[in-house]
Amino acid sequence: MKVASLIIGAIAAIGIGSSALAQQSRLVVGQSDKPALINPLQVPAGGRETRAIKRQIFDALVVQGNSLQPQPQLAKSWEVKDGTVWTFHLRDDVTFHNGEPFDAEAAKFNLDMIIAPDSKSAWHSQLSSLIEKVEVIGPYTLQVTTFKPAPTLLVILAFQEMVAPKYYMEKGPEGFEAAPVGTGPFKFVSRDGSTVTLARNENYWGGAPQISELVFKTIPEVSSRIAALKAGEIHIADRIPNDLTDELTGNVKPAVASGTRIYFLGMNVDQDPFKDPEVRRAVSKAIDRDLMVSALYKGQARPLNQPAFPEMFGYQASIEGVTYDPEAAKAVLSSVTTPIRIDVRQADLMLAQATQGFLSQAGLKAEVQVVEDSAFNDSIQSGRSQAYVSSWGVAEGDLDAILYRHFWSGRGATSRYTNYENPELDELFAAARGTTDQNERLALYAKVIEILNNDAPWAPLVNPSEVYGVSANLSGWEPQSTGLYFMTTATLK
Amino acid sequence: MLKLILYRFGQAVVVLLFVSAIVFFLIRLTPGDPVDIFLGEQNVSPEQRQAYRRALGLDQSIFVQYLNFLWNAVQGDLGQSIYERASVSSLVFNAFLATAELAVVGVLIAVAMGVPAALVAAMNHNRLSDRFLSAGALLGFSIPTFWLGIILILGLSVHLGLFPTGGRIGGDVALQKITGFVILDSILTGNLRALGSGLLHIALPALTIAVALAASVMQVLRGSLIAVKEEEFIYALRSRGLTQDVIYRHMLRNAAPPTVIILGVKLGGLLGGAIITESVFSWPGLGRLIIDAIRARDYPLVQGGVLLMAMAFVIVSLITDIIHILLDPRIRDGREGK
Repeated sequence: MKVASLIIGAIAAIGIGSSALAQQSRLVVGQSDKPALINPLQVPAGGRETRAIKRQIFDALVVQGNSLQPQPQLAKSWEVKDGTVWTFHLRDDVTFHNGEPFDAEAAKFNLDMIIAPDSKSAWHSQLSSLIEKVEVIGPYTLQVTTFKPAPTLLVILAFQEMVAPKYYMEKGPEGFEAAPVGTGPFKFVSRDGSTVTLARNENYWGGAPQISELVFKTIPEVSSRIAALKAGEIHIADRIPNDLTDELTGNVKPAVASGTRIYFLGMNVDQDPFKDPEVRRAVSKAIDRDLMVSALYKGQARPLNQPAFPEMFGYQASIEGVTYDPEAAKAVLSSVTTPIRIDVRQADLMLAQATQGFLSQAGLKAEVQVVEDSAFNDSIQSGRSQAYVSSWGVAEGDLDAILYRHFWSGRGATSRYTNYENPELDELFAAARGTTDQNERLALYAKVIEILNNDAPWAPLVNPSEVYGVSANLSGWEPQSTGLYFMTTATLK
Repeated sequence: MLKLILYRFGQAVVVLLFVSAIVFFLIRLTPGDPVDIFLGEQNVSPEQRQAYRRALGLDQSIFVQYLNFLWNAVQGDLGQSIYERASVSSLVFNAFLATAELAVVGVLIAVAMGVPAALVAAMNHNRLSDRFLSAGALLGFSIPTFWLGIILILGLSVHLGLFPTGGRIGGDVALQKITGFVILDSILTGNLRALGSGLLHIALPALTIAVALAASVMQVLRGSLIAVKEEEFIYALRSRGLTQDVIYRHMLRNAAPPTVIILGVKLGGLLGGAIITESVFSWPGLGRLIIDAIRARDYPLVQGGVLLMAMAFVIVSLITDIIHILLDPRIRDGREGK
């Protein structure tokens, strides 16, 4: 026994000593979900976690900042002619990690790969319906022609990471996935299951990062993620539930960015009692969103008075929107006899229960039913749920994303959701898609928001912030609403 | 004995066939569509969706799909994971190695804790030390794994900094892969740093598993030991003046069979993945792989994973039976006498 404990002690000393030395400028990010494919031209593209990793290895023509509006990245500037001809002026000082130059040809290769009919890219159907052709008109000048005015083109391009063309063709999709090459601030080193290791790109056009090694590691359990952060094994922990923010004390602290996810109560307009818009409006009025924010989210969220949050294009800052009016809600809901059932995923249970509470106060009998994730998706996508509490991520930052998937009548049989359709809304949607004049679009969206608030297929609830746990010895890093990590200025003390 | 093994082997084939059918149809009967989860919240046209279904072979009739799956499985090809884009066999096998390593170390710790405790308790039957140890076993049995794991992490990792909070090996430690078992590979390559890191990483999750297991070992073995203690042959051994060590050895051998069976069953279960422990300690094992696969409706991966789980369970119970036979001459003679 004594020998054994001595050995363990010795091993412990070796292990701890060595890891403390090697971690000097090795920054580790603990993520809640494991990454999908890193290859930007293939699905599954994954969510925020994967995108966070991809954007270290790759750049895109444009990038979203905290305002969500596209900013220059590989494209220095751009102009639009006649609403359909986009000319991008690209940076001329960029090379891929393998030495291939980045130029207009490389950018064309990437866009062509995505719009090609046999493309397996996640954004294929959106981009191929917009882009007519891509032309190289100068070594660093790219011209993209769209079928019709495409106001969402720019923001979609923020999601198209650029791969090294020659290398990609040489390796094929599988080989590329095993060792991806881009122009980003970090180079791919290795991937072991859900741990991805990256190394500093000394020649990064935006300035070489301070830290030499960046690691993304999956730690699914939130308490384990916080423990790893406190133990100093990781320096950033993502997706800290808003009510656990208080746990982040001592050598760790919370870092908060406004979120891009809209939580809402969806009401099936084909089912009683929600066939009556009066009832839907009353339901929306029965909910005290301010109380939700302070009680459930400890203030780390924003109440929503419309199906959009402030950074989103289309958000109406000056309207009163949906308000909390318990008396008006009660007047309508107390006469509703049909009980309602709110479907919800386990993860959103608290929010559904809070909603249920407000509805009962207003005299509407409601029960909450927890449904397994995929079964839940199935039931809402086919439009069978009577009511449901759920969320939609709007990383694009444009109302278009919600309209297209939830309220446009052409959305198809796999996106029935509330079954809500409105010809007037369809016209506004088409008109907004048909112009690149942002002021005109904003005016159209004002009407859209008015219709959605009035017809109330959704009772918008809250827009929670994204909370990260950050080690106190990390500086030069701030979380982003988009979930991207800008790491070039980050340093470890 | 050969006949018994062949018979059990035949049984195993039937069991696996059943398991494959059940898991195949059940996962397809559950609502949810891999293509949906695969594409996430991206806006995709119905045509593109259909193209993915075709590419994954999901547009064929379910029976054709099942026959295809069986035919390929017999040839050792479990297909491609939908979400991970890698071969199911390699994913499942690597995860299984991680799980097996954890399970084996967990069982070893459990035996190391449980057997001496049972011996002390049985020899001091109804005395204070027995009461104390039995209460301890009850406690070990009742502690929820989740809680224990978190408490160990908070106490030993976060507060004292003795152990890492999760993972299999330090991210900055390189290790050449031979068998896929971290501890074994680091011994084989003489890599002391990797060995240290591997042992430190496995210590807490293995301990978490071991606590409840040690409690069952202790309870079962203690019961059998108390029964054996009063047997006449023990008195006979004692009267011959044998040392206490030798008597203990005889007692243990006679009391062992029920404990071996318990350990076998538990080990079989653990090889299916200690899901909670694996989640808490971010251990890249089979349980977590299958849970993630079920959530993503990754049909081939679920099928492959469950099949391997079933196989591990069947093999472990077969081995348990064999050990049982070796330990207990009555069964051995009874079978071969016929």
